[in-house]
Amino acid sequence: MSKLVTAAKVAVLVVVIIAFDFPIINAVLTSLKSQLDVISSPPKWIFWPVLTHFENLFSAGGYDFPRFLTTSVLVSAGSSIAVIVLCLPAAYAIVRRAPGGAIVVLSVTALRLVPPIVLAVPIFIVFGPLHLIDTRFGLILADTLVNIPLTLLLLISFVGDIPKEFDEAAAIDGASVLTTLRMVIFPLVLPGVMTATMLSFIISWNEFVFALVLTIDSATPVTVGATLFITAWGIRWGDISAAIVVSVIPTLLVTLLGQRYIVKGLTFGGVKN
Amino acid sequence: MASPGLREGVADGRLPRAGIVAAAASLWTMRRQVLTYFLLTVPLILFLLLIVVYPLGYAFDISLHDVTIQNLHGAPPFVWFDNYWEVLTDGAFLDALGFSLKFMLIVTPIEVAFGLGLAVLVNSFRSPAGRAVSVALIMLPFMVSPVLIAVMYRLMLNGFIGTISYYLNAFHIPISPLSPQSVVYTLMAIDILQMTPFPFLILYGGLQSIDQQLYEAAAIDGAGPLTIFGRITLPLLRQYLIVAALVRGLEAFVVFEIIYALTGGGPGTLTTSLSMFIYNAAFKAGNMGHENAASFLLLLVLVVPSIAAVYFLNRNAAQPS
Repeated sequence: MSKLVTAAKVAVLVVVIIAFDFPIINAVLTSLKSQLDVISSPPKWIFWPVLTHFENLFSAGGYDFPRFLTTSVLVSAGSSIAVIVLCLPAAYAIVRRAPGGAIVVLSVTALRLVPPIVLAVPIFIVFGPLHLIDTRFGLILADTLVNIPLTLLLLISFVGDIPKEFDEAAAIDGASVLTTLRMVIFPLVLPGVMTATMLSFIISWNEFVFALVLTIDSATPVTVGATLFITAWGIRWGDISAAIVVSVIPTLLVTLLGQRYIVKGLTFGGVKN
Repeated sequence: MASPGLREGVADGRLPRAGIVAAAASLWTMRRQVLTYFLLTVPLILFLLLIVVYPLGYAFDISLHDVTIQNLHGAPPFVWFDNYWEVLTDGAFLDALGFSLKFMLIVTPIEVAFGLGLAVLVNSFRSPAGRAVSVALIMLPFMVSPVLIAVMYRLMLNGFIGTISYYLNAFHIPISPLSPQSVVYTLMAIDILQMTPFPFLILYGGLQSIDQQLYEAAAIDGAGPLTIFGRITLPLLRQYLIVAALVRGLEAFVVFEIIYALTGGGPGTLTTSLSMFIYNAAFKAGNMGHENAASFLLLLVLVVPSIAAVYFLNRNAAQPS
C-alpha cells in the first residue's frame, strides 16, 4: 500500500515536471533536429542529432546573434556588480542607523512594486537627449535599477546579522568606517553578496521590458533578440530553438551552481531563513 | 557611546576642562561617524533620484500636456487633466483594466493552490537528494526569461509544425489554442505552467519551517491527514500563502512578456493587458500624454495592494529568526 502511494506520488511529480519543463525540452530537441525533422509531422522524438542550427547561429547572416549574446553577458555582469557597489555601503549604513535610512528602505520596498513598463517609458523619454538609448551603458543603468530593491533588502538582512561589537573592535584598532566596511563587514557578508550577485545576474539576463523599450538594434540583448528571430527568421524554428537553448544556458548554469543561495534569495521576504 | 574622558573628568572634578574637550572631541567623532554613514547612502539615493524620481516627475508633467512622440522635447500645450479624462472615457483602457483583473483573479489562486499541492507532495518524500532534484527541476522554467518560454510555446502551438497542435489534432481535441475563443485561457495556462514554481518555493520553505513534533503529536492524538492539513499545516502557512498570493497577484496584474511574444495584445485588443496598453499607447499610437496618464492611473490602482504588500513583506523581512 505505502509503496503504491509512493509510486503514485512520483508519477504525479514526473508528469508535473515534464509539463513545466516541456518548453525547454522541446527547445533542446528542436535545436538538434535537421530541418527535415523539424517540420516532420507527426513530431519525431527519436532522430539523428545535428549541430547545423548552432553553427548557423554563429555564422549565418540575418540577425547578429553573437552580438546579442555579448550584450547580455556585459549588461548582466555590469549591472550585477554596479548594484552591489551601490547597495552594500547603503545597506551597512542603514543597519548602523544612518539618518534617513528608514525612508530609503520604505521607498525601495515601494519601488519593488512599481510595474516595469511604468518606469521604462519615462526613462526612455529622459534617456533620449542624453544619448543613452540603444547603448549598453543605458541598459546597465536600467537593469541596476531593476535589481536595487531585492539586493538592498537582502543585504540589509545579511548585514543585520553581524553584531555591532565587530565594528567597535575595529574602531578600537583605529579603523575608519570605510575600512571597517571593506575589511570586516565585506568578508562576513560574502555569502549574501554572492546570493545578490547571482540573482541580479539572472534577473538582468531575463529582463525584457526595459530592454525592449530602451534598445533598437545595437544594444539588443538575447531576450529581445528572441522575439526578433520570429519575424526575421520566419519558419527557421531550428535556428530559433538553438538561439533559445544558448540563451538559457547561462541562467541554468548559475541556478544549478548556486541553487541553495538562489532559493534563499528568491523566497526572501516570504520565508524566514 | 559616552566618552570615557568625560566620565573620568567629571568624576574627578579635577579636569573639567579636559573633560569638556574630550566630550567635544567625542561628539565630533560621533557626528563624523553619523555623517560617514549618511554619505554611504548618498550614491544610492542620488541614483534613485536621477533614474526614478526625475523621470517619474517628468512623466507626470507630460501627462498634463498634449504630447506625442514627435513633439516630445518641444513645447507641447498644457491641457490639465484632459489626458486622464480621455484615457478613462476611451473604453480601451477600461477593457485592458478588465483583462488584467480577470487574468490576475484566475491565475493567482490556481498558482498558489497548485504550488501548495506540489510543496506538500515534494515535502512528503523522505530522501533529501530526491527532494533537492525535484526542487531543481520544478524551479527550472521559472529561472528562464518568460519571453523565451513564450517564444517556445509559439513554436509548439504553431498550426503546421507545433508539437502541441499536432497532439490536439491527433487525439481529436477540438481546441485551437490561439483562436479568439481560447487564446486568453492559453495565455493563462502558460503563465500557470511557468510561474507556479514561485509559490511552490515560498510554500516549500514555509513547510520546512514547521516543527515536525507538531505532526508527531497530532498523529499520536489520532488525527487524520486531512485534519492535520487543515488544523496544522494551513494555519501555520498563512503568512506564506499571503506573501505568495500578493507577489504573484501583483505580477499577474501587469503581465506583459508572454502576451507580447504570443499575441501582441490581439486579436484586436482581446488580450491587451494594462502593461500592453501602456506600451502600445507609447510606441504604436505614439501618444505620450495618454501613455503617461495611463501609467499614473495604473499606479493609482496599485496603491492599496502595494501598501498591503509592503506591510507583509517588511513584517517578514524584519523578523530574522
